[in-house]
Amino acid sequence: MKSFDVKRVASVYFDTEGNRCWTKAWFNDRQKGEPAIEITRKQAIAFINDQISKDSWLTRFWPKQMSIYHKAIDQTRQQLLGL
Amino acid sequence: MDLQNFRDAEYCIDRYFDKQLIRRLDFYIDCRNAAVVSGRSSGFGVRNALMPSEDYAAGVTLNVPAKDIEKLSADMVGDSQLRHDVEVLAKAWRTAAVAQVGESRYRQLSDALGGDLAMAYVNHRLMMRMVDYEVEKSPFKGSVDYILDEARRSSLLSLASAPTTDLQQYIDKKIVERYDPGLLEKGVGKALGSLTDLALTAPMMGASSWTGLGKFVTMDLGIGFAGDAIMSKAGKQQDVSRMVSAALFASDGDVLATLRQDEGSVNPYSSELVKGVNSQLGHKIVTHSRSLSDGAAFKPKIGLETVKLPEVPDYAEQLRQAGELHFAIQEHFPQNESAAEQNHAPLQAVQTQPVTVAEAAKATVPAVQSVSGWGGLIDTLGLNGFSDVGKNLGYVLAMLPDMLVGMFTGKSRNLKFGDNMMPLAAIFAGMFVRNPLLKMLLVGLGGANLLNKAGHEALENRDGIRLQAVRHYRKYDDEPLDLRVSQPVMKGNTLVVTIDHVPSVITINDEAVDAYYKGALPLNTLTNAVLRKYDEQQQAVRENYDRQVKADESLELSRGGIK
Repeated sequence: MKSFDVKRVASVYFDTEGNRCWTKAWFNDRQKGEPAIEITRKQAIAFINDQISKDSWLTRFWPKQMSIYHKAIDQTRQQLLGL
Repeated sequence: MDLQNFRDAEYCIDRYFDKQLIRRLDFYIDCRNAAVVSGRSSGFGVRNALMPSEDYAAGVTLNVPAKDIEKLSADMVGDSQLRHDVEVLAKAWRTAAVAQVGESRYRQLSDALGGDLAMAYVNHRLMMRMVDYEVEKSPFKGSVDYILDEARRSSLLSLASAPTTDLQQYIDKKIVERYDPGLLEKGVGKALGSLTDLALTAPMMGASSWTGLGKFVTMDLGIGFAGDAIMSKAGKQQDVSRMVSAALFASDGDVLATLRQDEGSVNPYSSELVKGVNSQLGHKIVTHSRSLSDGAAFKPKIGLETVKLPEVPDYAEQLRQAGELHFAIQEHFPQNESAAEQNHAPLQAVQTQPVTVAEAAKATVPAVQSVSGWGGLIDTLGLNGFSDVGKNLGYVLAMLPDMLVGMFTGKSRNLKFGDNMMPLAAIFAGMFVRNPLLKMLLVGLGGANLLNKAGHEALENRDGIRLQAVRHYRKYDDEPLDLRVSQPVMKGNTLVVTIDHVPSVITINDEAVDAYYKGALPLNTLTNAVLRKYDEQQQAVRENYDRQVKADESLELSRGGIK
């Protein structure tokens, strides 16, 4: 069994006071990640507590990148199936 | 006139057959072939052949290609998904037809036919594809096959065994047309049929000498050739496709056939009609890539039959009798508008026709169940695939002593003495029988049986493969797809599937792949089994990890103790 998934990493971080939160993502092991987005403290806690899945999180904050991701997976699938 | 819609609709019909129905048809053909092959090893079987029993009837029925089509048609009636798909295809074709001739004209044509024209046409097209596929799959392998089959058809036993359906006759005719036998082969086939008739009727006719035999054969051959001449005149059929083309396009040529040839120009990814049909079909004909923008419209395939039209007319009877519909269309479809308007009497006949067809169908169902031919008898006699031996006769004869000696010494892998008791006994008995006819039958058929089996064994040894090796699989039920997996697709021996949102490629073992392609193992069931195996492996990995952690901890503790 082999996976042909594209690696996706999402992270949240706080400022030193713990008042402001940001989220950042990395697609396909690219060194330079996607631009950070400021989020609410509540959202950050929900993500840390696994109350929202990684893909839903990424789709919510980086829809364009996830669209590209889905297209890439579909394209790979087509290539595998010889279509 | 814009014929693109027709071209697209024809493309959809063909693609649907190629992608969805052909696999099921293959399964039925393989099952039939498997039964035929297993029947070969059942011994000599003269008693069974001449004294039909239930087993014999069942065995003979197996070698009738029309049965495959009937089974597939029954599937299409019983399976709500397939029924729905056929309705979707008919809807696409109907849309094109209405756009071409207008709704009133379309209704007029449908009324004249006695049913929906699009539904009848789509059923007819699928039926013809099935017939063509059967013809392609079951050509005569050589002269010997043709001669044996011709003997079966021309013999009196073909009358006594069971009446064949129009569909089977049509398939037989197409197969023969495709083979195009020579005059010599025709003559030998009819002569063999006559000889068989003689063997069966000898006690009644008192034929006990070769002189009588010669006269009988001469007379029978004369009737046979005359019969052929009559059949060739009466059997000329006009093409349904051409007639529908004439009604829709007012053209003498077969416009629909021309469009079918031009299907290569259809782009399934840009054609709105193809995309529309594909989105409605339960079994897809085109796989589109999708993006998040149309994610809302996309419904994940979870194996549950959620797609169901509220109003799906019951075309079961039409579908079951698609073959008869073929002839009904030919007989009653108005050649052109003026002819239909001028002559009202044929229209009335048309309107009553479907009822007649349906009633006739019900009446003939029991007969269809017992459709038989000599194919089963040939198989029972152990002469199945004799043409393979005939083509390699030199090699087979050269190897025959080895094979026969191997049979007695147990050296041959598949040619066992115990499996050949009947042909050996027949030859042995033939040596002591005084009646020349019986002697010829016993020694001839026993020898042919042995030659066939030994020949196949020799050919298998030479080629290193088993000819006609067919596996039997248990038929698994179609399960609803587990919600954790989506989009399973098989390609060769690879399953492409998304498990827990992780797209994966999984190599499936040969047996499971074979069972899948033979239709015994539905895709959803296979995918669920793969998921169970995947979970087991994951569980094993987790347990191994825990074990390693514990082992590590105990090692640390023991080291601490040493200190």
